[in-house]
Amino acid sequence: MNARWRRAIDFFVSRYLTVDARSLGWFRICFGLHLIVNLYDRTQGPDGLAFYTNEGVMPNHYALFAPAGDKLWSLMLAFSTPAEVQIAFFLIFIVYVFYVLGYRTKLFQILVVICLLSLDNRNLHLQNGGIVVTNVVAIWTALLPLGARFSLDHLRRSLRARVETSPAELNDRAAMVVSPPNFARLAFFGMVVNFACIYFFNFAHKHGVTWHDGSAFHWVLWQNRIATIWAAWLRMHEPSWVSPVATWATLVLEMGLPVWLLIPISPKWPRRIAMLSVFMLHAAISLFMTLGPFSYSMMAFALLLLGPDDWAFIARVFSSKRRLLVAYDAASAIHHRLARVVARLDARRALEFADVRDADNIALAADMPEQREPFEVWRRSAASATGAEERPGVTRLTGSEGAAAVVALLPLSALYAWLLRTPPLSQWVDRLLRTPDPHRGALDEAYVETPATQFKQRVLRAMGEILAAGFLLTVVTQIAVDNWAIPDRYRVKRRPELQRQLVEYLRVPQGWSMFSPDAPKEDGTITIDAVLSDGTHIDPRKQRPPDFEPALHGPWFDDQQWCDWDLRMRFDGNRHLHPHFRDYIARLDKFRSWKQRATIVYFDVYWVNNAAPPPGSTLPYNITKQLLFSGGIHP
Amino acid sequence: MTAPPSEEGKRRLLPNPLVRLFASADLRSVGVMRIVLGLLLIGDLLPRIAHVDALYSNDGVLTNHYALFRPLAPYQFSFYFAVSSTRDVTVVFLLTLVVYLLFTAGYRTRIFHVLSFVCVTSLHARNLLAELPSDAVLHLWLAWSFFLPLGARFSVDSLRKSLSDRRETSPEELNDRPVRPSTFYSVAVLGVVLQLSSMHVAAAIRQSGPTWSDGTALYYALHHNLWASAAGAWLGKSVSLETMRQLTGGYRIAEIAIGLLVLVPFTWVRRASVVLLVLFHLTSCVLFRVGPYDLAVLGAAPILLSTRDWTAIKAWYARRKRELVVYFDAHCGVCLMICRWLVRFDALRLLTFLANTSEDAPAEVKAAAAETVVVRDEKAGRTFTKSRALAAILASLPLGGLKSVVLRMPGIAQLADAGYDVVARNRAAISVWLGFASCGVPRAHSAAPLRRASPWPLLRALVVTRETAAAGFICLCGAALWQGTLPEAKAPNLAEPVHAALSYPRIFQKWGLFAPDPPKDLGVMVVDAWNGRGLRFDPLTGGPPRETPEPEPKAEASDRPSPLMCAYFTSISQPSNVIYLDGLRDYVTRVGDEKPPTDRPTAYTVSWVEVPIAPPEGSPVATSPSNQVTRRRLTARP
Repeated sequence: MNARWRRAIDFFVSRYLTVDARSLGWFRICFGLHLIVNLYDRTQGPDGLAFYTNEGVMPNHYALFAPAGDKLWSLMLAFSTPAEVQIAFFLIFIVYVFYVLGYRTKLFQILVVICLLSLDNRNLHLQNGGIVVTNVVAIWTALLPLGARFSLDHLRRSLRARVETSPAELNDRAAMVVSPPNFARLAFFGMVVNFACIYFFNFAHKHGVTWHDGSAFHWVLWQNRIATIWAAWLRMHEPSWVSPVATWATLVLEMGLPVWLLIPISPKWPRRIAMLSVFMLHAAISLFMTLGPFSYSMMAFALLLLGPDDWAFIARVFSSKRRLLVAYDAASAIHHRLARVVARLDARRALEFADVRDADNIALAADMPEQREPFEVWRRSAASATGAEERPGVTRLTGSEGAAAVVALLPLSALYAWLLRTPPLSQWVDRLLRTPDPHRGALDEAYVETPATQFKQRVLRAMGEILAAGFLLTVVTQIAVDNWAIPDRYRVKRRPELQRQLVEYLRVPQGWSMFSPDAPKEDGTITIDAVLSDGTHIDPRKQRPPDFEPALHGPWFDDQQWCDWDLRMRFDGNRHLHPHFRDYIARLDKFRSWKQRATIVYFDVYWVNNAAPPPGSTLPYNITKQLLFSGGIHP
Repeated sequence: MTAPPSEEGKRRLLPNPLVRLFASADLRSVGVMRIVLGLLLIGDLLPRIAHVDALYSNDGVLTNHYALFRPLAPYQFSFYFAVSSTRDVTVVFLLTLVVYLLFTAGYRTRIFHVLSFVCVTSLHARNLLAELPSDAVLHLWLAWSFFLPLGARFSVDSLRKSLSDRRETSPEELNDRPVRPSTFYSVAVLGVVLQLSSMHVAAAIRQSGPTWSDGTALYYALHHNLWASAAGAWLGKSVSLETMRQLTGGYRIAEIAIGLLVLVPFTWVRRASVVLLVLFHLTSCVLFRVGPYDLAVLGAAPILLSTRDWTAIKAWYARRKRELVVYFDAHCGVCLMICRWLVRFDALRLLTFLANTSEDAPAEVKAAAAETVVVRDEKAGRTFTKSRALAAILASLPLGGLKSVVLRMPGIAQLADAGYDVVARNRAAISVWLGFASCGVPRAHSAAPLRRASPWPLLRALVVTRETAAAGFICLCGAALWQGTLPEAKAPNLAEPVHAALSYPRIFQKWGLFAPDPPKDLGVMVVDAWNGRGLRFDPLTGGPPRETPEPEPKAEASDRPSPLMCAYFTSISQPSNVIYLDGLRDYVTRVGDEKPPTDRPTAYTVSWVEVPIAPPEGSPVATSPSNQVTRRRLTARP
């Protein structure tokens, strides 16, 4: 291979395949937290009961009897009653927590994919682009080493691979990082290509009038189903230039992102611009629209674009100004082990370690003749603390106070540092740190990777790359099937059945056309007019009088699941879902959330439609109602 | 927890003789119990794979959506409901098989134990119309064994732990084998024994119908076309009524005897109870076709083996094996590693390890030792090298005889020699590749990791929690037994949470085959179909529709439906299950539609055909007609 080819390949690898290990770790934490919030969103209020139990709008037997998609499978379908479903949600929560912590990360990456797909498939009528994007992100990243940094796995690997024998060795933090600084993976390239296509086709499909004349943003603001409180404020005070600017900015960002993601120049600035574009676009979208997990999943992807220079910058910004000298009994195995863990968690490098018996090394304590404790923390500070011994400019903390001071400098310390100051944990820590350790000097030996384990890792990596290549091929083919912006003669008409089935099993359709070709100019919601046993009329879902002019009282602040469910109820193709929806409404007066004294006797369910006000106006018009179905016993 | 209890726990439990007598088990027995349970699970799963389409998928008799829409029982849970098509269900079956295999091997035993329990209860709950008597037994043994350290012996876990805890570096250390504690104390052991006892006594109590009283129960059971095996049918026809009465009485007496004997914790009584238990259930297994019920009951029998039994077995077994001296290259990392493995498999302690440079080694050993491992049988004065040496070592290990024979076979022996030479030549490189020390190259990591008693009171808390949970489980099983043994009219209504706790894992306790009476009618499911050419046939069997359930004289044993299908046919023929008949009709239609167009059924009737079993000659009820065929129409198309 000549040098030119070698350079080309090196460039390709560094530009398209390489991702920073810290970005992978940071992505895992953020995406995992996003999944936990999404899990809460799915279950909050009446949603858990309504959408995932047999008391709700879609019992599991009906979801299986009339599957909303091909190759439907979901572990959630095995759970029927509210109590069972609560257990299932708790188990999913546990999976997400371990994913965030990075414990046995590869296993939990796979479990996260299973959980996400199970949640999605349980009620496929709730699926929107955001949920599909979340599936896409979870599946692609399942092929990436997300546990490489900021994880319990990395902590365990580091503790095994480098066994420090003295406090001085603990001050060499760089050597504690045992994962490579970056990884070249086909899955990352596949993910970038997938997201470039998402943005490109979202741009390409937006060729309607509203996108050309700049009114699309205005129309979207008047979608009461999805509008947020910020949208409600802005649309009432909307200067004429706002919508054109926002509309065209959206187009520019969506058009530019594929370019920044794929342009064959050095990745540093294109990736930064791409990241900035993603955050600008999706922060704005999430500010004005409720689209479920869409924006957050897209932003999570952008975190993978952080490069080494960005991390160096972040390290500079967040490096700690405070420095602590941690002096401990280095002969005590338990103290030394704790110090090794703390040193690895000290991301801001605010701690310096020394042996408490080695007075020469503790410059701060040079003139302190008092009796030494097995564990001391020294800080240059004039501030006093309870139990602290002081002299001008220097504070000595011991026991749990010292431990709390150390922990306060670790990441996210606000969440747990207070525990060390609270009895009985503080007393237990005091005892632990002040009691001489009977097991002095015993330490594990460092673990060194053997050629055999390296071979095993290479085999596993090769298998991962083969899977990534297969998935990339499937995704690209699916993109060529699903997007009508591609001229018909280039659209894929035939493909292996396995690829089709893979897309169905993994729920990763690739048709990307949000608000395309035009922003919707109509809006609507479901209003239920229920007659109670005392004769009053009420909307039993909202437990207030039925609103037949909801467009005048928007936004409606429904969450994504109800938005999509209500919208789909109006379509003729979904009439078969009405009986279970009717049963759910009839049951509402049996739930604990029912606040009325009377019970439901009869109800009509309407789709109330309206036309959004055109630019320059703030009054929706043409409000019509359409009876979808009725239930109960007509009085 | 796969580890034995803490020292403190042992000190607390040991002085109590009652605990020693009734609540102790040998860890080896518990390990064997795991292997037996794993094999039972696999044996339960494999026959079901043949029925994936018929019984467990949406192509079969009970679709997942209908099973959820009209659950056969309250508190039913099965993750098999999550998949629909035959292919998807087959994949889940294979995953279940992997879980069972790993549980049997004792790999991460605690995790795969829980997964095995979830898998087996899910599998059985998927189609309760095909529930077998063995299902509840398997669920119970798996539930009871949650409280036992199943992975403490004969497992991958124990092997890994031993290799990690004790890192021998020389032949002397290999020969120095400390005695490990082998007794486990827990109230769960008492629970398992009580369960084993109660299931036999309760069975005898429930077998209280007229046929058991007049001694004809076994006659009817052995004459049944679905539940009697070929051997059972032969016995039923061969023996006289008087003998049959004696056998029937003996059957119940044996059940009561087993139930009482297993409770007596003295060695010889326990041994007698084990022998009786095994003989009784193996005989029952030979006579009846009710699935793996009898084998499943034996799943807990290993726990009855005491430390004395193990000592006796070990002594008996060791007498049949050769003591060997293994001379190996002590400087070769991979050789040392192999010897460390051999030490752990050498439960009979018949292998002694020496360095090939040892001064005590005979001259012939010294001559060959540079090239190969050398094994000496000092008593016989024989020396083995290369594959012969490996075969001799295998022959001295427990259960190594067959592998040893394979290694000695012509062809394989030469291949093994060649392979051995390649490995021996490259042993230094292989050692380095695997990270072991070799000829001056230090190993990557050698010292055992530091393990010390935990300063936390966690272990004690776990033991207390386990014992409390086991005691609670005894109470739960007691309530279930009380409800299951009393006649239905007198059975108490259990509180809803208790009912749920019994129903989800399906650990009901209605014991006894053919209780309170065996069926007195032969029965068979017949599909009477006509194809386009006007021919009558049964789409399920492919042959002509049966007119009577009586077995045809020339029928092959393989022509009979499997116990699973028998269970399904018997259940679906009950009037209470009429709402599930549409599934059977759809299945028959589907099976018929898979035939060539001219052979497809245009119309069919599914019937349950019954005929009374002729009463035994000389019996007081022998006057009733014996050949009156009753045909009950279940469903039809069109």
